[in-house]
Amino acid sequence: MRRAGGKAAAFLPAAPLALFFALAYLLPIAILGAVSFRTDLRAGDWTIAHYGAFLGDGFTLSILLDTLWLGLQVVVVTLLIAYPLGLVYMRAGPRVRALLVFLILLPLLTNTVVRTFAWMAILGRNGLVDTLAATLGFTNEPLRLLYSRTGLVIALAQIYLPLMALPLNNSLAKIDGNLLRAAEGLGASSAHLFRTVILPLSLPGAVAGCLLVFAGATTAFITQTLVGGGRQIFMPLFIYQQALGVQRWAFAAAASVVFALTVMAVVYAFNRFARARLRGVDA
Amino acid sequence: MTVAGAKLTISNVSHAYAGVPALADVSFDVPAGDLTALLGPSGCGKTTLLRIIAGFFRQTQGSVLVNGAPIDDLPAAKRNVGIVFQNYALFPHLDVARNVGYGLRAQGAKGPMVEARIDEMLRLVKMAKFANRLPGELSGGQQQRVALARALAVSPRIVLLDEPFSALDKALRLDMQIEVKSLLRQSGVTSIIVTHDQEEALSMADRIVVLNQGQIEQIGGPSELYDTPRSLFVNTFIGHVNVIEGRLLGREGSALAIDVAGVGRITVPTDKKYPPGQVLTVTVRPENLVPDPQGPFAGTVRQILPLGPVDVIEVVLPGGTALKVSLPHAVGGVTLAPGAALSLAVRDPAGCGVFSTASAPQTA
Repeated sequence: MRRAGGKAAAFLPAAPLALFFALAYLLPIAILGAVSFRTDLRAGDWTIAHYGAFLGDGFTLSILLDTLWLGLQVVVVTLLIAYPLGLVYMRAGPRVRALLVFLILLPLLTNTVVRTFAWMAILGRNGLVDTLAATLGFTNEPLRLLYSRTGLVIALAQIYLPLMALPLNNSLAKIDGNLLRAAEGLGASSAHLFRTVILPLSLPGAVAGCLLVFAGATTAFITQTLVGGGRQIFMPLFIYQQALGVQRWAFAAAASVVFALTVMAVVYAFNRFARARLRGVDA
Repeated sequence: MTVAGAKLTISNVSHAYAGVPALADVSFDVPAGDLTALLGPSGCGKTTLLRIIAGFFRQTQGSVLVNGAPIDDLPAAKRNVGIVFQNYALFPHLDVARNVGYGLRAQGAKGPMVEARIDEMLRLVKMAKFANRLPGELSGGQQQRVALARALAVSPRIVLLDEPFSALDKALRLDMQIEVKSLLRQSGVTSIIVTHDQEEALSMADRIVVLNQGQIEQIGGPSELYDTPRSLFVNTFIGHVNVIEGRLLGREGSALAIDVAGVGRITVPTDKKYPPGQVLTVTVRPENLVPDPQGPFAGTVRQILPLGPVDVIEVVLPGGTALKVSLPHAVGGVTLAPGAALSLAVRDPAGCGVFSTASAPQTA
């Protein structure tokens, strides 16, 4: 009894935070879940019609799939940028490493909204990219990157790169240098060494990075909306429009639940898939 | 398993890290199929030399030759030099069989030939039962066997072993030394073992290269280094030794007469020449001293260390010098008590060393 009481007392300092979470996080989610099964926000009966409407409509499903596809594209781009960076980080001395970490973290010091507007200026008509491309003579036409899918993927990749680079660097730095020497001494080429040693041993960091970037990019309402420019509709904007635009609160709630569960399912499945390949690797 | 080892030549190799010298003009040969130890304290340059031979970086000056041909321009992956690391460096995500087959597959081999070679190597190191285990599921000795099998699987011309036994506990170490030595002999590969452990070097190697501060102190067989060390450093680094300071009185035939404070006059056979009056260091191994009532080293027993096969007695001379004498253990042990008077004599004066005190020992 005394021990149990002691344990409860130990958690007491966390009680205000727990209460805050319960009120500001769990309760709204519970309300959201409940609303999604109502015919209307204020009145009506219990129903699963909103789920049927969302899942039975090719248009809404295509928005969901396109949002997941966008997340995957951003994940791939950040992976392709973060690995070469990580290889430099892995072989660098402590001073260069500190500098790289600082440079990776630097963009996080700027608010996402500000960075999004910066990307609009860079990608926009007569923006930095267009001007540069025209000056260098690559093209006479404006590239129309702003409000394009390519522009959106570039902006999201830049914004979420730190979430990929930091765990990946951490994983790469943990690889014992003697393993690389052993592989080299056994005749492995750089490509073989990367494929058979560096890649599998850095998977825990890469997996963590992929999950963070995927969760971030699929739900990045502000950047998706401003850089994507309203013509491309992804789930966050769609839910926003349904709720505040056309006041279909219950349908928007059902869409939110489906979206959240789908992202979680993708994250869970990917995690399971990756863990199965991590035999012998320190996570 | 008929791998012909290659002759390795280290020719005037010097290396500096960012201007700080680590190796100074090191030259020696390792005959084909020989097992040579690079022995020295930490920071002596032995690991630097190992990495130069392996090709992990290039020496500032000099050349490494295999069978007379320089390999300085070859990257590590093309040198066909096997390496066994101190921490074994087994790939933690690959099972034992894949670790052993790594080199073959990295060099493009495929199919049943690789499997057959892995089998052969695993049987050689008695690890066939563990083929599907991960390195993390093996003991230190088992990991060592896998590391050796992995290095030998690609039929290297030369195998480098970097402090291979330092991570093993003492009981296992001797067994693994015997096993590794016979495996290396059997494979006929030229081997270099880098170690700071003189016992390991003595027990493993045909020849020992003693390195100190980036330079070679002496090259020789284990007994040669133990019995006739060329410098006080080698004398004190290999085995235990008593160090006695004295002043040269003069030459007496084939020996030098030396006056030791609190002891008197002793004679040490040597053909080294020093001016009379010079302060000299005389070295005597503990097993080369023997209790003798007529002996010149009369002192008091301070403590007795029963080490099992030998009993070591520490005797303090009137001048303050402490001498260790080791006696083969007799049943019942040493009957002397601390405080007892004991006189010691040198068993074989030829086993003593004489060095000028200027070349003071550089390690504790």
